[in-house]
Amino acid sequence: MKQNTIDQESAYTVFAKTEVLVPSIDHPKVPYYVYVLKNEKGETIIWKSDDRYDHQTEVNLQTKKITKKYSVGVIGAGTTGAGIVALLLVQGFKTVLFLRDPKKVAYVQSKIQQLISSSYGIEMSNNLLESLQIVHDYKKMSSLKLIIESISENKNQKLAIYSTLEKYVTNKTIIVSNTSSLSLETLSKRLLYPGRFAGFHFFNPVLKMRLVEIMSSSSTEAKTIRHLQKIAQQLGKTPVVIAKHSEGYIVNRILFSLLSEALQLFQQGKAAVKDIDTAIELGLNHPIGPFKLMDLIGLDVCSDIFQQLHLTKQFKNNQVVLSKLIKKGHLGKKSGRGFYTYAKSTKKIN
Amino acid sequence: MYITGIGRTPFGKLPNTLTELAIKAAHVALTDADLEAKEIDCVYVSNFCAGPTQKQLHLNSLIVNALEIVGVPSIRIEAACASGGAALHQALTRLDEKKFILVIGLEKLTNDPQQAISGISMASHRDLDQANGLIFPAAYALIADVYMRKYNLTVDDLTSIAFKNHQNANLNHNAHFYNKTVTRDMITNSAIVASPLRLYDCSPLSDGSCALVLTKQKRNKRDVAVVASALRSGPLSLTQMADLTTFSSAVKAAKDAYAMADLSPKDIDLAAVHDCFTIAEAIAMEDLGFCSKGYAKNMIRKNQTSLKGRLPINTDGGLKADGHPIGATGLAQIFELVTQMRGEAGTRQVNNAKYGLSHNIGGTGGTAAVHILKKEMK
Repeated sequence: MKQNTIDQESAYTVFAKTEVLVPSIDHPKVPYYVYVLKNEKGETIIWKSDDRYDHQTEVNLQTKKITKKYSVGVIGAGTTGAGIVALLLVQGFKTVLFLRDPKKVAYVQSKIQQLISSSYGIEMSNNLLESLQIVHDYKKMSSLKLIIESISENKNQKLAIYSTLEKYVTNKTIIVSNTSSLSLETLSKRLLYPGRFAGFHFFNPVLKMRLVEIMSSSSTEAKTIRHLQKIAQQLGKTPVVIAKHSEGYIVNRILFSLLSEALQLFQQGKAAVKDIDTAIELGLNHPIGPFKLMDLIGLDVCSDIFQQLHLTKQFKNNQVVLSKLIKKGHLGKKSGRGFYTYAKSTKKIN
Repeated sequence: MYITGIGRTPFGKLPNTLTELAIKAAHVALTDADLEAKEIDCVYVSNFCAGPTQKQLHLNSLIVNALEIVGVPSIRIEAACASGGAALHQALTRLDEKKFILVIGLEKLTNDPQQAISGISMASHRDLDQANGLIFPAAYALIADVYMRKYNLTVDDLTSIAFKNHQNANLNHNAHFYNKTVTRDMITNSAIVASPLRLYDCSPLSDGSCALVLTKQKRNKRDVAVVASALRSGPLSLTQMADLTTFSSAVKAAKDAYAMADLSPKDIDLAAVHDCFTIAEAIAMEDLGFCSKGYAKNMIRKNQTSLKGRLPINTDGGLKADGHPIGATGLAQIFELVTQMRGEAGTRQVNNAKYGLSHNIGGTGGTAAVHILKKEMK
């Protein structure tokens, strides 16, 4: 059994914390705080302090220097962006969210609160929201060490954001994109310091899905990737690294190849939608079949990703099937109809 | 191997001395077994804290003298809060050569709560944990902090565990919290002890004693069989645990016990688990294989562990509300399972229970004892 002692060379971060309010003979003065500190080797120590620190606070036990809680910036408050903000808050990061439109503050706050409270309860949600700062000016993100961009897949908008950010942040600030389909080479080409840029791809629902894909461009520095791996772990996720540019990273590349084959089978009249779904669910043990999944993602979103991936000619053919449905307004579960029809309660009915 | 006699005192803040409590529990158990004290040929004593809290050690001698059976072999077993389970395990290993073994657990904590809290801390690592402010509520609060963030367990789920156990305790006239109304609001609004754990997330300091009489041969139809007895050790300090959301000793002991009894978690009809803090009950459900890791919340939210649920847990109120007189706790779990298997649990009776499991933890998993009892039809 290991006997952990304080490794003076190591940097420790707060892994778990509690505020103790009952006095005991050995510890009569309350309140006091007890922390589980973890170093890079995964070794832990118990540490008592009179001061309150949040999760992920860096503590140097040799110099007694406490690094304030790492603050992370997020740009974009759509489904994934809001999910990333909720995750950062739950895992103890102070979070600065950029929102272009001040009128949407209340709506976005309530969306994030709902995400957290549905998993962790209303009390925790209210407490965590105190660590969220919403800004409308990129200047207010200038001191951040990490900024996660998670707007919709619009190349020009993303490029404009990065150019603006670079005016304010230091050259050590890591800027990452949550894109899963745009080329990182393209996205980083106008950056003054492309070594600090990488792909950092979360999956929905962000609080629950345990994977983060990290993708390097040809210019991304190794230390950027190492830092992102550490951050992903601190967020409770398992990171995987894609060393060279891959259309769709790993997951979407393989997923959309599968979806493409499913569409081909259907389009060529070789099998019915229901039978293809059943085959994949029972034969490959997937939780849902490809057509149910496309309905869930949204057929318009699927169509966009197919276009962006353009891996094979088949992908173009897939557009025929999807375009027909999209033109009729059948976008999947969200519109009540896609490959399947859904009742208002969103249950699949045929 | 059978349990042929059970006896206990009420648990709570009691006026009796340590010796008085032990004599009372032993006599109830002997009467239940229809035996006289002189027929006992070996005594195992379970106690954790009498040294620091009562200035009394050498309890094996204390008990045989109190029962006027001086001369029989006796020994005291200490394994923190798992002392009871460990003592039963040790006694069972000696049953081949003895006719009747008395296992008796006892504890007195309420006369000096500060001393008790300090004494209980001795179950953790002096240098790595205690010296750094880690009293037990703080240790389990840190475990809760990690577990709740990792598996989305809510404070409301912890409230549900406490509420269910208090409801059960109100059906158990021996319980520390018998006849005490505890509402969800009282639990929710109770003072924080060590965040996120509140007063009602913690088991109380209790006085009490519990005794069992063991025999190798079945004597009558009220005897309940012990089909598995497993004892395992684990990390002492929180810093030695690879994962703060599980107790490896409990996982290993449960695996041993299921193998011994040739059973799986699905065969268990009711369980007495070590809910020293509410978070510990959630972890126990997973360590014992009643649900997958991270899914205790689903069983809690579906009320599957309530008296009428799929797998009733802590039907006597558990440590949380029956009480936690440490040395007696592991044996009180067996007392409840035997009572249930005999069909003598009254208003808290679980119907058609064939297999009952007890799970007794020392510290934060430094020791774990798991026993499985079987109701024999003939």
